Amino acid sequence: MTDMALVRLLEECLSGHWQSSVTIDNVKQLTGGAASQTTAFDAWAEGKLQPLILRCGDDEHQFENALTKPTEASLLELVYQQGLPVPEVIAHIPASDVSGAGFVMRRLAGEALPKRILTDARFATARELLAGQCGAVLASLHNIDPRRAAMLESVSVEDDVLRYRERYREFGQCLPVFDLAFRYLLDTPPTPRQAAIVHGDFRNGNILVDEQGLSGVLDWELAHIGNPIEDLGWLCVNSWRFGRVDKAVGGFGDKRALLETYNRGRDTDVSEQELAYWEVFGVLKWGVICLYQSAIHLQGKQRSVERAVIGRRLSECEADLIRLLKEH
Amino acid sequence: MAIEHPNAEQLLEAVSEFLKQSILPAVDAPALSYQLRVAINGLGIVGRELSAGGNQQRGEQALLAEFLGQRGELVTLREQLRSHIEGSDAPYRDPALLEMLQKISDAKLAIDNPKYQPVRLSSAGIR
Repeated sequence: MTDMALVRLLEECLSGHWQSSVTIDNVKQLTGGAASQTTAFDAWAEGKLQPLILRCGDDEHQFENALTKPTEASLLELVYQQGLPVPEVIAHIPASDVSGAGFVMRRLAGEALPKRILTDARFATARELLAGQCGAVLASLHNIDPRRAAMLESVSVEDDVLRYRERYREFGQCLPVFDLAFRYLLDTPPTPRQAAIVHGDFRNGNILVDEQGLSGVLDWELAHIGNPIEDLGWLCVNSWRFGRVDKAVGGFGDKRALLETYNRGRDTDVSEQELAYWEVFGVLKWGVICLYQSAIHLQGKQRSVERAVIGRRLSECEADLIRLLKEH
Repeated sequence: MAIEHPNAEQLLEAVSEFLKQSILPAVDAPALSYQLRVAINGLGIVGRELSAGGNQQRGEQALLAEFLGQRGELVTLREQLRSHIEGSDAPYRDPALLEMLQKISDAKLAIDNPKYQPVRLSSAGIR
């Protein structure tokens, strides 16, 4: 897509939103390939500079079951109305010659790079607060009546485990540690919990952080309806600790702080033991994503050194899985 | 006779050093610089795999053969271990199986990412 055509499209869509002429500036593509883009830009409207993000198109190589952009937008609108710290959706962008279907949302301030969140001195106070804040935000998300999120698919734990195992087996790579962990997940089902909206990718890397802590929750493409404790286990997966292995929650906090605010926010009693099941689930999910990413490269669908090298991260998943299984 | 000056590891090291010292500082675009670091990391894995000279695979084969009580090709033994896992009662509670898998895993990790720190055992435990 050309910058000029995109600018004209955005100006047209946003003029409708603000009921006045809008000028677009500072267009900067953040991520994306041929099919899907995340673009940062500024709009002059109502006499001030409005920092915005455009998300459009759907990545054909996105991990399975990812939401389409219009579905992601309607989910964002729902959770925004419920007071969660997510960007406000400003406009829906229809599919056209210029771009795939998408939406424009406000660009929230905050740092998203895990390394900076974990090392910058200015986030020292934030790091102390983050685990508890994550627990509170997840509690608010999981307290939303899932019937309001009719746009999302509902999956049982067993079906989800079986689906991930099927994906794993399709890649044709025999990893006995994975077989063992899948067997564990199927044999020892977790404490049943009432179905809720699960973010699906709530981790260090998909949150925005400022000096006061959590300021935004991003990347809702893997959202679904299911057992909500999946979100807590995923947040504790070792890969998202970025080397700070003793800080189980995203490399910044501990499980006790996460569970304390979560349980208080939902009047529930999730224990570290219950969390452990979901940590195994999370590591396996990450392992299947690694397999998937390297397969995209190896099968020639999208050649990329990054996708190739990620295949070797399976060893990290295996090392974590064995240790988690040894704990019982 | 094999070409030995420089050998594969030394040649790889030279390419890796060149990318790290001469190209990386010259790349401004953050996305490209990130990809380059990933690529250099990939060369590191190749280097360690070359140095291991097949020791990891031979070690895995020996451990699997000992555990299963039979000889065979590595791929066959892995499949047999999968069948063993499928066919046993609560295999994830078998300390001998877990110990063996951890030895195999540690050797793979030493090649793929020796700096990686796996999760540590906590007091909480899985039921």
